[in-house]
Amino acid sequence: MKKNGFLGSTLAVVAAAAVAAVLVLTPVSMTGQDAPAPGKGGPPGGGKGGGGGKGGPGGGGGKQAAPAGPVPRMPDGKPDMSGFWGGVTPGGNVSIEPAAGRGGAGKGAPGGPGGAPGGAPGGAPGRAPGGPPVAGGGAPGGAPGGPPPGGAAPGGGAAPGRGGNNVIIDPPDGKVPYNAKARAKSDDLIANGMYHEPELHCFMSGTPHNMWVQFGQQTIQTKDYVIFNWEFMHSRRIIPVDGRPHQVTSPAVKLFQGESVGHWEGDTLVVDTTNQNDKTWFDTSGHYKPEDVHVVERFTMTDSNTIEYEAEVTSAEFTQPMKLKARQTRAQTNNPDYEHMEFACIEGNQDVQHYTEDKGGKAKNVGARTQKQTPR
Amino acid sequence: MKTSFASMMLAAGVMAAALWFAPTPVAGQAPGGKGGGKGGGKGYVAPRAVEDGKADLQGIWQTWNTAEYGLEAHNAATDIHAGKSFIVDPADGMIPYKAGGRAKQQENFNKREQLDPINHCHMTGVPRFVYNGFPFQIFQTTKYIQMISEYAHMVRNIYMTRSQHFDGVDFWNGDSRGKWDGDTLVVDVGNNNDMTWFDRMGNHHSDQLTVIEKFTRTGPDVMQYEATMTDPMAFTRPWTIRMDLHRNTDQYPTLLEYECHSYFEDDAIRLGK
Repeated sequence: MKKNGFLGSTLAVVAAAAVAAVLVLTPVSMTGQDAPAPGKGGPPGGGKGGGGGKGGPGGGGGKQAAPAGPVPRMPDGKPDMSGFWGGVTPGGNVSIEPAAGRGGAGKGAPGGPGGAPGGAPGGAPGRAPGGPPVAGGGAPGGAPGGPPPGGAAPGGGAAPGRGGNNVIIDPPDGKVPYNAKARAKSDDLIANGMYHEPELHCFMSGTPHNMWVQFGQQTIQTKDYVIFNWEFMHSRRIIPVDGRPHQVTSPAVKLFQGESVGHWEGDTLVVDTTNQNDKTWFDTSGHYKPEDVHVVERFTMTDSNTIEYEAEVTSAEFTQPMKLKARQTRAQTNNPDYEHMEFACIEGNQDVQHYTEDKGGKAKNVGARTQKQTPR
Repeated sequence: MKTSFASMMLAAGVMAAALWFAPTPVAGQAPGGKGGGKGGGKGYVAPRAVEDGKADLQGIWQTWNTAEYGLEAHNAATDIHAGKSFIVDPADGMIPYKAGGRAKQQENFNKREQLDPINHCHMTGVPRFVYNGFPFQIFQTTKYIQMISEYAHMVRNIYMTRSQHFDGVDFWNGDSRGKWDGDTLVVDVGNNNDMTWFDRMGNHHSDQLTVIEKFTRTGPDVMQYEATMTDPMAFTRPWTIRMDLHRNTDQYPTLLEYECHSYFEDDAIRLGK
């Protein structure tokens, strides 16, 4: 296992995530309530861990029990996207760009949501450690996939549904259309700045990165809002569809998830996002997201289990607009009673302390390094 | 205590004030907030939710009181505003700790800079989630009522379809199961861990804590919040708090972010550490 393996075992996720990972990894009819009660000592939570690929709950690879039906509708006739969904596929959690030499191996996160951290309350203070980290084929842990040092992740095997395609369809080479200066900044992050990998710090992932994180997405929809919740890091996006204008805050307001406003164009939910900060990346591999990005996403539900996802990302640091295309598949169709559990991250996070100088930082060095890279 | 924390709360307060379209009177200071906001009081009927005709609790809500500093009557201290008690039962307004509990609270208070979970940006737990001073937004469907806090993007999913708690799993913010009692949302919060506090005074509990919350709209912009804490390990009897929540009446209510731990790094830069 590469160095990034320990990220998973040390990212101290409390028991919730461990149990969730078990549920995720066990595509049988097991609901939260039916699940065996994990004692406080923690069962061998991720006993089945380590499978390759990034399959979130049904993220393109989940078993589909119920055949897709027509698009469900809200009382006002809009498509009803509520429910559990896998991350968009192809995604870009490990790297949004195709890695050289990876061939058709896909971009599966090493280990994906593989072995949970021993079913234990991880590094939660005051708790007895649970079972040992699981030795699986992949990263042991409900980790953020782990930033592959240098972006040279060995890949966990072909990700289901990826088919070797890239989420970036334009430029045709599948790469972020950084200008020369921006590309140099990204290269420097990959070589020297992986300490700053945002999910290492338990940050929400930003837009559109959050669309392809692991552990699945729960969408809640009301007349006035579409809300995306991810079990991972309990990140959330609140998308008003109440007819408000763009940017009701101020250009000065910078947010991890940005300020989104949505509207319906027929059956397509169009979401316009501005006001993102500069602390999140497109992936976990150093492809940083310029602070000025303007993201326009289009969610088109084509049947009860499928959402076609398109996005266009523009930035002054790009040489052209970046276009994304992917698909979201309904998850947990076997489990009508499925529920998200609590994913604690900052509560027990020890990753930053474990990052060493050769990976771009030390905890005690954070100030100086951050200052050097992002002067403000 | 992190020096940033006082300024954080100040900033939060300023932001909250800025967000307020119409300043509401300071309510909830006294035990048993009477729902005294504009248009409130007995006889108020909440608007109906579109889907199922239940009381519509949606909106961005926030306390405007001193509960975050201390649920019991207390004096001011560093980063602590003085406040009255929010405890309506028992009548003395004090938490009915078992032997040793009060001493532990005192120790927590003295070491709050190091020990208060929010100084580590940890989740607050319930009921502190509701009155920690940050706004939270309620979304309502027939299956879920969801509360998303501005603080550290905390999320509570209140499941309305099944009342049974998970077995054997502890959560920072507990496991919430809701039901309607007329127009009052009653939430049974179990599966709490023992690592959260009730307030900055260091009031504490064990992992045997269960909380029964009651959310009742008492006016267009006011919601009464009541919570009863039961914990046979920590308390001699159940005890109950009551206060008012206030609704953000901005034209475009917008929940922002307080990504607590990210600011530690900003501080490191600013302070040259």
